[in-house]
Amino acid sequence: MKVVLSNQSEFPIYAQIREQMKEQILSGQIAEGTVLPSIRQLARDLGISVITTTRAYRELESEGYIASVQGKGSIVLKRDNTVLREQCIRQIEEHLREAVVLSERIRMTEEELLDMLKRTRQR
Amino acid sequence: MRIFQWCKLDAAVSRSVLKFMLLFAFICAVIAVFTPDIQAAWPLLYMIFGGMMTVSTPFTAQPYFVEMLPTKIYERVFGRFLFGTGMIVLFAAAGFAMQTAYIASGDLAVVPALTQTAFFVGIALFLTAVQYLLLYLFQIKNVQIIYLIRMIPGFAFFFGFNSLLSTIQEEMQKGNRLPGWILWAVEHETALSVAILLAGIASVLLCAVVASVYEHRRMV
Amino acid sequence: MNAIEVLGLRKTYSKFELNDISFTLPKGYIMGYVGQNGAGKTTTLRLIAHLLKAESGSCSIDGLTYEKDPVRYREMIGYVGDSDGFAPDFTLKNIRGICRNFYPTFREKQFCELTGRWKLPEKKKIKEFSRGMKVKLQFAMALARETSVLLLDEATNGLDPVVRAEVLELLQEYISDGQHSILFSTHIISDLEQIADYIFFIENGRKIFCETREELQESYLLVKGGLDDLSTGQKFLIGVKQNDIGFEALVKTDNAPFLSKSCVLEKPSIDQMIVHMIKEEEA
Repeated sequence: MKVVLSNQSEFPIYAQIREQMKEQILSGQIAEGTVLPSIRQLARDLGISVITTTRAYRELESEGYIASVQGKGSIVLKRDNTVLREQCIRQIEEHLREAVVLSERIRMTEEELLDMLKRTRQR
Repeated sequence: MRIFQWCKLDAAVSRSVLKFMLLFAFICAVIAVFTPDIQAAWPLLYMIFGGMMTVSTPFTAQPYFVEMLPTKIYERVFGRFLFGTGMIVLFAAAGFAMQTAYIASGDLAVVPALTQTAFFVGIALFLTAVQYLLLYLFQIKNVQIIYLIRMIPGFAFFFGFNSLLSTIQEEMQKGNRLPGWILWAVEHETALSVAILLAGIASVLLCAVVASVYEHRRMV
Repeated sequence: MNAIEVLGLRKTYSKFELNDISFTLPKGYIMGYVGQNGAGKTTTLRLIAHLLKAESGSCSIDGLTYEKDPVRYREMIGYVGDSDGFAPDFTLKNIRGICRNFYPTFREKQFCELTGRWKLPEKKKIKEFSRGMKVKLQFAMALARETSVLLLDEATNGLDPVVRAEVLELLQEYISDGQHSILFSTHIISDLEQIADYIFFIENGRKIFCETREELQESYLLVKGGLDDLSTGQKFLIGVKQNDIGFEALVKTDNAPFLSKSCVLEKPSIDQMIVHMIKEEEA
């Protein structure tokens, strides 16, 4: 597991932790069933406040990436969890909707937009 | 028992003054040896005077690290009074030793040094107890004022008794008849000294209790 | 249970009044007690440590008050203040002896380990110690025994950056079991920027706010703009500082949409927030 925090980032610290962990969970770098460091351990290791790490874990939990087990700590859940997939899909939809709204504002055609999406995926 | 710990701590805080007092004792001994017609009680008076100059030192240095130490309030106050008592007794013991040595070496016929020591210790304890009580009651933190408060009883004690004793000696040498109360005091010397000593100890205890109650009211 | 509970503390001096200070600090967290010099930080900490007696209000550590058990109460507190808390003639050895005598849970080995690591001289008198050394000594005393809370009064002042970082690490280690808490007064907020869970802001003896640092940093934004941007939504601006070419102020995140679109919005540091809040207080 790896978490690198930046003070210059536009994202708050808890969001940086959340996103980096998500990425590693989704890519398999953090295996299913892994026991994550405790909230207090992580705060200590990163030199940040306990409330910040608590929030990051809470959000990961509510999004279904991890589950906290009494007495054991936080455990990484199954990756291909359908809930998780649905959530991602919902998020993608949201972003796409935004993209569509923006493209309409500058009168972009559907082809242009699809083209852009393809190019973005290739990158 | 934290009373003893506090007493030790007060002594540690007063360490530099106590070191200086070793020099004081040395000077006292030297003066006594080289002044042939000195009062026999002089080393004793001088040393107790030294003790009285030392007793209030812990009041001048109250770092918060010391104030933060866990304690019951009365333990702290009694520790302080114990320190004061200890200082007076310690200095008196040194004075007594010097006086005894002085008497043994000379050919003066003097009153037994032990009763005299008890007498002076009793008075010094009383003065110390009252001084401590004042420092507690008025929460005096100003070092100058603390110095002033300890000078007054110390000097009054030293010069008062010194001049009283030399007057008596002069009158005796002239062959004059001494006033009745002095004769009475000399006659009942032992009983009087013990009574004064007990009164001194009682005043220490009483003042320590009053100071504890006051400190407790102030802080709790 | 809360580590520290302070309710309605009040203390009056001839020129200063600490007025109705209340807060709670749960176990296992760090609170930054922030304010300008003379705002009442030290007074509050001394009241909590019961070095001073409050005129009214109460204060408990792990549910226990000083009045109930003064000895246990003091044992639970580790106090690190500004540098001059020591008898000048003492040496490390004396301090060790006193700690051994007064604190039943004093861990001499750990104390020696810390003083050794920080290279505190064994034989020198405390008065010859530098400010940083005195602070380190106090940290060693506080950390080498069982306590429930640390009260740190401007404690990282006078520490070089390396030791400061080391101390912050030790503090995090201290709270990491969830049973210990820290109340940390300072005006150098960068110390706290990351490790503090709660920020209490005091000004002129009064509480301005007490919130989690997360909430605080999310509920405000730093606005910068030109002078012509000032007219739009000016009533939402907090502590406006302006000069010939522009202004800088704080705004509640919820109110940000009412401002001129050409303003720049940024995440504020605690320092910046406080500068503007003090400015607002003074206005």
